[in-house]
Amino acid sequence: MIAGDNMSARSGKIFRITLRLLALLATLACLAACTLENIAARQEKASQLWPELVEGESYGQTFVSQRANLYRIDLGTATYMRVNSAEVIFHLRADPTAAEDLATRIIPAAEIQNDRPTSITFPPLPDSQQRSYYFFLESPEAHPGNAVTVYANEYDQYPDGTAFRGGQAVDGDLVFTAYSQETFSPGDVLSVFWGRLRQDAPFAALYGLMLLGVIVQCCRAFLKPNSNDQN
Amino acid sequence: MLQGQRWLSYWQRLRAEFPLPWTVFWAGLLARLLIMPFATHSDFIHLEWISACTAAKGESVFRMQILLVYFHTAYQRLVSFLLPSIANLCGSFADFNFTGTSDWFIFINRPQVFRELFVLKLPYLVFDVACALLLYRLGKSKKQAAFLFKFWWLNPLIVFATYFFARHETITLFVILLSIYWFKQNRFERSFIALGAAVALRYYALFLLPFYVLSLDATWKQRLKWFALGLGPWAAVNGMTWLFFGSPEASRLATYPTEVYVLPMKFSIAAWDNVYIFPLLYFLLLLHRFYNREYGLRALQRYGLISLLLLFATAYVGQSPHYWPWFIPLLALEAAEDRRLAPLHLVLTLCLFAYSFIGSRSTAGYLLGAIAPDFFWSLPSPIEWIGGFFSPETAISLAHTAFSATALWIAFLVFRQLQPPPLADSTETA
Repeated sequence: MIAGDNMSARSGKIFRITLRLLALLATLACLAACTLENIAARQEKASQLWPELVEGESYGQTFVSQRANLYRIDLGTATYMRVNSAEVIFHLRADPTAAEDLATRIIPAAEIQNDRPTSITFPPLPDSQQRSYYFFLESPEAHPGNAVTVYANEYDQYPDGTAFRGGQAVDGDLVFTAYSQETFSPGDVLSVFWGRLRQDAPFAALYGLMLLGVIVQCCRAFLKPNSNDQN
Repeated sequence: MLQGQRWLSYWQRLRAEFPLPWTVFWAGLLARLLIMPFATHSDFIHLEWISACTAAKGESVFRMQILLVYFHTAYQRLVSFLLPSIANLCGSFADFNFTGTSDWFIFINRPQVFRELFVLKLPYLVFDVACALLLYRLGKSKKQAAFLFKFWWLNPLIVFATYFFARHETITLFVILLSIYWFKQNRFERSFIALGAAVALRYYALFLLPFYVLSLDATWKQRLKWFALGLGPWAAVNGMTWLFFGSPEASRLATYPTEVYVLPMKFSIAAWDNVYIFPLLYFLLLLHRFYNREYGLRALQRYGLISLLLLFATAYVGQSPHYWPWFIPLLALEAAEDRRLAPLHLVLTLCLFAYSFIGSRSTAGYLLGAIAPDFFWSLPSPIEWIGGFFSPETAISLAHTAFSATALWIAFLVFRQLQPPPLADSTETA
């Protein structure tokens, strides 16, 4: 009997601890924010590789970011399946005539992907929505046989921008995807949802009442199941 | 007062005669109501946009499956007092682009989007309930009826296709179930007309028609009559469109990418010479049906189910979850007889959900975009997450392969139940 009491006391304690842990997890989940990314601009169609990106050359592209917080550009690149050593410098500017970089990244040659996108990240640009940008790559120490290149399409595939070579606009577009990032907390999502429900208050009220009615019926049916419920 | 009492007693009698599994009913209804105002796909918006334009401009449209367009137009007119903003849906888009996502995003940002989604999906709910009740009535015993009801009402494929994906398949499925119901009651004229109506609504029902005709032990003259009845409603629709638009509705079939959806699996023999797998298997099944002497509803449901499973095993349906419920009524009826099929259906469901990742975000977070557009538009699809570890194409193809294997296995199990065609006269003479 005493052993049985001890057992039930222990299981009760485990139950309470589990409940507290679940409550803690739920609170943490509510407080936690997740950062998600979105496509801000994209041109995926490749038709050719450009020549090696060597000293004195630069390859670039203009584009319009559809979203705020632009933070990453994935560029279609190739290494000719060899180990190159010349590093590549990435510049992001407001337009091809701008002198100042909004972001600069020096990319070791080993990080350049072969036949796959190379991701280049930079601090998010909060006011990037509907703004145009220009990025270009250069590789001042590269020479034929030790250089990388980019994928491009010779035809105009991306209407909001164009490719640049040596600082001059050329036909076609590079292969790229620009990403933005945004941070959402469950509170943000719920607040947006609540705001949207309030936009149509009469519907929300009726819908809520209907749900309540169905929940009540559901509980009643659970408490008094008929023979077919058990079948 | 008396009228009220009469209704009350009728209701009580109905409840006593058909004790629905109410727990299941209310739980299933709650799940549906929770999703209805918040989920949609651009295919749904596209159809509603066409219907809104037809209603607003009073212009007729000539499209494939024209009956469904006019059904939605009529319904929009009927409930226009509940949806004051639906009138401006047509003007919101010059030409709704349902393959892209920008117009979808614009729609889910409409101020009354929850109300619009809820009210516009109400007919689907009505037909959904009607399907569940018809299946319930098709059960041979109380236990089997309850099984059939639960199979439909708690089916994730039905819920996903009808409420998340927001498609109208329950309308056609109801008409098909009605034809099965009348077939069971030996009301064959009604049954064939109902099947014909289903063909007029959705062409895939045509795959079932030969099995309906051949599952009746009748003379060829009678069979010809039933075949004509089964095609009658579709022929009538074609006649109407020919009269009003100058070309039959069937002519729009030419625009349907059959090679992409129905015939992608094939043996290439030479240039311009292929053997298509689904038609090959379908004709084989048809020949089996032709020589088989097994008649009646059970044979019909078995052949019908096998033909649809063969279609799904060989076709491209991953990005179109609204096609998934097509085989559910026949599978439910067969599973009620052979319970081994119920867990296999679960495997089928899991495979289909994994296969749906092929739609990327359009079959994942975008569906719930109306709740919080920016968040759900940013939510990566499961395949993007898988892509971090494994080739997404391979993962999706593996899911499809597993799905096809399960569908073929179910088809085989059902096929094995069929009696083999007799070995002609040689056995008799021996």
